Amino acid sequence: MTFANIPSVGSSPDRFQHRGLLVGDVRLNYVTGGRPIGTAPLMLLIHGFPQNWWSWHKVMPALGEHYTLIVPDLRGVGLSDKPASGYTKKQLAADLHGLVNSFNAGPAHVVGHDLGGMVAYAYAWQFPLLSLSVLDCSMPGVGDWDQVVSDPIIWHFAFHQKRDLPEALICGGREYAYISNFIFSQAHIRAALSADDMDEYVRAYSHPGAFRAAMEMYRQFPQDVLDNRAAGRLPPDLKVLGLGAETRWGPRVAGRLSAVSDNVQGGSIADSGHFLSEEQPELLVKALLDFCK
Amino acid sequence: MPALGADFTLIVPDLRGIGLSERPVDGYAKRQLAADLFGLVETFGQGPAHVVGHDVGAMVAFAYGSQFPARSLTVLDAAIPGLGDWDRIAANPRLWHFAFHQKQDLAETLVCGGREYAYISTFINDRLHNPAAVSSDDMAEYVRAHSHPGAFRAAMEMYRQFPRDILDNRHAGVLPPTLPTMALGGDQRWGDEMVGWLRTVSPNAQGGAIRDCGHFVAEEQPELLIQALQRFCQ
Repeated sequence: MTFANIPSVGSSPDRFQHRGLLVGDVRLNYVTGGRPIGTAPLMLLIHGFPQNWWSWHKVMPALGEHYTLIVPDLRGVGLSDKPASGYTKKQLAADLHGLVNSFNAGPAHVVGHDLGGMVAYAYAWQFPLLSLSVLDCSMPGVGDWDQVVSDPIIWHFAFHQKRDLPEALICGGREYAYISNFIFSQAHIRAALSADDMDEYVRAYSHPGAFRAAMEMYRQFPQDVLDNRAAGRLPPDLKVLGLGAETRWGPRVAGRLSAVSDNVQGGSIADSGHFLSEEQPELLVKALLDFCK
Repeated sequence: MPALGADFTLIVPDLRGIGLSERPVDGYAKRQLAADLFGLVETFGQGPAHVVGHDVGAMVAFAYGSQFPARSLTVLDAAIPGLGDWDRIAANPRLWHFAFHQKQDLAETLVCGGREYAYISTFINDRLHNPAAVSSDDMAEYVRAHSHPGAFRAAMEMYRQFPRDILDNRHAGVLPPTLPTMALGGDQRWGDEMVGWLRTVSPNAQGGAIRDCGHFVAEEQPELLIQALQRFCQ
């Protein structure tokens, strides 16, 4: 595998910068930019697996015209620290709340995709926020979860939860094989993900401990189920958007959220697989701008 | 084998694809694997056999029972494609590896070329109730059997043929009413659930659970299995 022809990990869309912040005892890497702090609302964009902050790079310039963007690598991923524990969605959300607080600009619009959607949901029942958007994922214990976990489409939930096994099979040279296969099998417009994008994601999970950390996020699902069920319904005044990919979860995302909120909008993004922000960036930007007004 | 060999002439093959058998590109539907074995039994010129299969081998034994003359059919600790409430059974997260093994090329890419031991030992240990029943020499034997070039691919093909197997099994319908059938499951794995599945196509199926036993009935409870087979195959 060669990384010779790809941009360095420090690269980012124009006018965005990498920063680091120690939240508790975990140093988080994040990219920030868009409107200057204090001149626009904050928007937090939370990536999923097997991705890092880069999954948002196509939508950041357009969203940055309206918001101050905060685009982190989750605890365990990419350039963020990879401690042994703390991978419940509740804790991952607390990490990000610490990051948002450091901006001193009030609450944020919170947008999460895949595992990041689960984190966004755990953010919404713990902390103040301007709105919640959940993209093409399920949430532990919410709505049709019990059906979801027995759907062969997500066989990887069980595989990733096996202690040590995915690490034993994938780490040390097979990250590209696994991650590229994982992404292509869930994408509809496969050309939307370039070879450089793929290398970026593979690199984000090739740091020592990164793959373990990602698997821990799955291994914490039983705790997440308990946490989410104990949290109950979302605050009644919170605006909630659920968007699914047409070829993946579609309108079921909004359906799931309706189990915990009476204030849900959303539906399906046409002609898209799982990776909405890369397969249909313009439709996603439009949906988020309409919703977050 | 020694105890059963006192009463029967035993035929104990490696399936097409496994161990020292050949590994063609195709032919891994259970119907074909059973036809391979029927050819093997025929060479003995001794009439039909008692057919006993475990795990994927149980699926093969079932396909044998539905196609060829057999003295009896015994299936050990396995779900059979299309049988019983298959869609619900296959959705059990316990069977996550069904979907993993069915992904074209993925399992080979992750496991072959050095990680066979890591995968196979984890796979076996996860399904054992008594981990001491499979020694490190046993494990090495199983790893070797799936490390020959093409062997792991062949094994994965057996899973990739499930959709075909479901159609074949549903098309075959009920088993011959004269065929005695038995289903035994480890009480820590499929237990007596299997008898119910088998009775949907063989109303007089016998069987139940083998106590203190995981998936590997022949190695975890050899004496109980011998007793059950001797009684059933009399």
